[in-house]
Amino acid sequence: MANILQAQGLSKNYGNFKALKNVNLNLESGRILGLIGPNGAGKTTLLKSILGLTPFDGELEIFGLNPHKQRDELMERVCFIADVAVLPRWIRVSQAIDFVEGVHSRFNRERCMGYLAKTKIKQKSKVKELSKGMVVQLHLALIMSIDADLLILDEPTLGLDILFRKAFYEQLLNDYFDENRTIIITTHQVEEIEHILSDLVFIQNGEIVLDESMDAIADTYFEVMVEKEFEDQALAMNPLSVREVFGQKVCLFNGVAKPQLSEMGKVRKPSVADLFVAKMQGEA
Amino acid sequence: MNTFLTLLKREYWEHKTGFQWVPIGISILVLFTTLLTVLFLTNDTVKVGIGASNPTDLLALWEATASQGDKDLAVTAWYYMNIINLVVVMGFVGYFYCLGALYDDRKDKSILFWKSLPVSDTQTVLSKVVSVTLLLPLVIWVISLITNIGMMLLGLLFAAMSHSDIAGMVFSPGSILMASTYQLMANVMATLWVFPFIGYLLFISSATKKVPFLVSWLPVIVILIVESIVFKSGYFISWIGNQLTGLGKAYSTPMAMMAQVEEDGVSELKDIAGRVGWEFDSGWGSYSSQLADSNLWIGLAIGAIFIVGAIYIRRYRDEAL
Repeated sequence: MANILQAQGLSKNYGNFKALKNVNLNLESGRILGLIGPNGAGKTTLLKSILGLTPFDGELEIFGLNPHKQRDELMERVCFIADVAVLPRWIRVSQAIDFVEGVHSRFNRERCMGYLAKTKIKQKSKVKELSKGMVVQLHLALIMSIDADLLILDEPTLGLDILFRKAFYEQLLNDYFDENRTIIITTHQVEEIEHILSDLVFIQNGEIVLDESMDAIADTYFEVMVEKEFEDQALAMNPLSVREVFGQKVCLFNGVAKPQLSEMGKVRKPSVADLFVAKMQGEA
Repeated sequence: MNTFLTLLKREYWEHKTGFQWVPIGISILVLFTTLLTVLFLTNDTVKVGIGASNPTDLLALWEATASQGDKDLAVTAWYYMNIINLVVVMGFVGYFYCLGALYDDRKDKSILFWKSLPVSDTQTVLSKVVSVTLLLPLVIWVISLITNIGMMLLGLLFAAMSHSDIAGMVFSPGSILMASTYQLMANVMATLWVFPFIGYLLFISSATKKVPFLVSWLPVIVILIVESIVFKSGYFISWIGNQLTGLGKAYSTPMAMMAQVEEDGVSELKDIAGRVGWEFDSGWGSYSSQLADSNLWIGLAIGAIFIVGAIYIRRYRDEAL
C-alpha cells in the first residue's frame, strides 16, 4: 500500500515554544490511526499542519500534495472535524445539507438523511436551536456523508452521551470505513476507540513517543500480574511501568517474550490507556 | 459555477434580515405613513390648504393642464423619490455586511467548518463581493418594485376618496418599472464609486482580530491627521470626498435622464455655470461621462487590491493560533 501521508522532520514553532519537534510519520491508506497525547502535546498543531491550516517547517505530503500550498486540491479528498469547530449558529439543518451538497461533489444526500433519521434533529431547526450534542450529531452526519479519502476527527464525540458515542464508532467502522479510506482520530476517551484502531501514535511535548500498529503492540507489549514470589525477578527485568492492583504488582513489559513472562504470573494485553500512562510517565 | 451559486445562497441565508427584512420593514413603514396621509387629506373634517386652494384641487388642475410628457416625468420622478430611502437602507446594510463578512465566522469558529469543504478562499471572498455589489442591489430592486406598486394602490385609493380625476395618471406600471430600474442603475453605479471602500472594509474584516468597526476607522483617522500635520495637505480627504461625490452623481443622473436634458440643455447649463465661475461637471447627468472619469477606475483598482489582500490573509492566516 502506498503512503498517503508522509512527514519528515516536521516542526512548528510559536516564538520560542516548539509545538512540533522533528516529527516523522507515515500512514498507509486503509488504516485507522489513533493520535493520543495529553493536552498541549501538539496533536492539534499536527492535525492543522496536515489540513493546511498552518504553515510548518520540514516536509509534509498528503496524497503527494503540500497541504499548505495546495490546500484547495487537498480538500477535495480530505474531510475534517476540528475540536473547536462549530456549525454556524444561523444556518438551518436543511440549508447546511443543501450547502454541502452544492459545494462537494462527493456528498451523498441519502446517506446524510439516513444518519439524521436516527436522531431527533428536525430539518427546519436552526443550529442555535439544537442542543450541543445534536449539533455534533449533525456535523458528523454531514461529514460522514462525504466520500472522503482521508477523514480527520479531532475529539469528534465531545459532548455526546455514551449511547451515541458507541453507536457513532460502530457506524464509523461498519458503514463508513473501507480499505480505500483512512481515518485519523484523536480523543480523550481512548478506551472507546481502541478496538477500532489499526495504528497508534502517542505524542508528547511535540515529539512522537510511540508509533506502532495495533498488531505489533499486541505482539510486543505485555502486562503481567506478578505473583508475590517473582516480584524481585520482575522488577529486575526493567518493566516499563509498575502499578499495584489489590496488593499485587502489575508490570508492563516491552519486547520480552510471552512464555518468559507467563512463568511469573497471568499475562494479558495492556489497554491503550495503561500503555499511554506508562509511556507518558516514562518520558516525563 | 454550482459552487459559486451555493456560496451566494449561503450569503443570502445568513443575511436575510439585513438584505430582505430590514428594507421590507422600512417600506412597510413608509407605505403605512402614506396611507395615514391619504386618509388625513381625504377626510372632509380636516381642511388642508395651500394658499386659498386645497391640494386635491391643485392636483386635479395640474392633471388637466400639464402635458403628457411632463406628467410621465413627474410620476416617474415621484416613484423614484419614493424609494430613495431604500438606498440609505442599502448603504447601512452593505456597510455592516462588509465589516462582518470575513470576521463573524472567525469569531464563532465556524470558519473551520467552511474550511473543511472544497471551497477556495478566493471563491469565498468573491462570493461576498458579488453579494454586496450585485445580490443586494437586485433584492432592493425587487423590494422597490413591490413598494411602488403599494404606492400606486394608495394613489388609486386617494383618487377614489378625493373624487379627483387622477386615477389615470396614478395608474402607471411602466413608470414604476422605470423608477426601480433607474434606481438599480444608480445603485450599480454608486457601488462602482464606493468600490474602494467595499474592498477596504472586506480587507479589514479579513485582517482584524477584533472590533472591525473601530479598526476600520482607525487608519482613516490616522492618515488624515498625519497628512495634515506632516504634509499640511488634504489630498486624502479630498479623494474620499471625490469618491463620495460620485454617489451624488450616481443618484442625480437618473433625474437628468428622466428630464431628458438634451445636448442644447447641457451646453446651456455649462454656459450658465461658467458665468458664475463654476466648472460644469457633466458627470452629474451622465453615466458615460462618469465611466470615462479616471478617478472611478483608480478607485476600482484600489478596491481590487484590497480584495486580493483580503483573500491572501484569509488563505494564509495561521488557523492554529
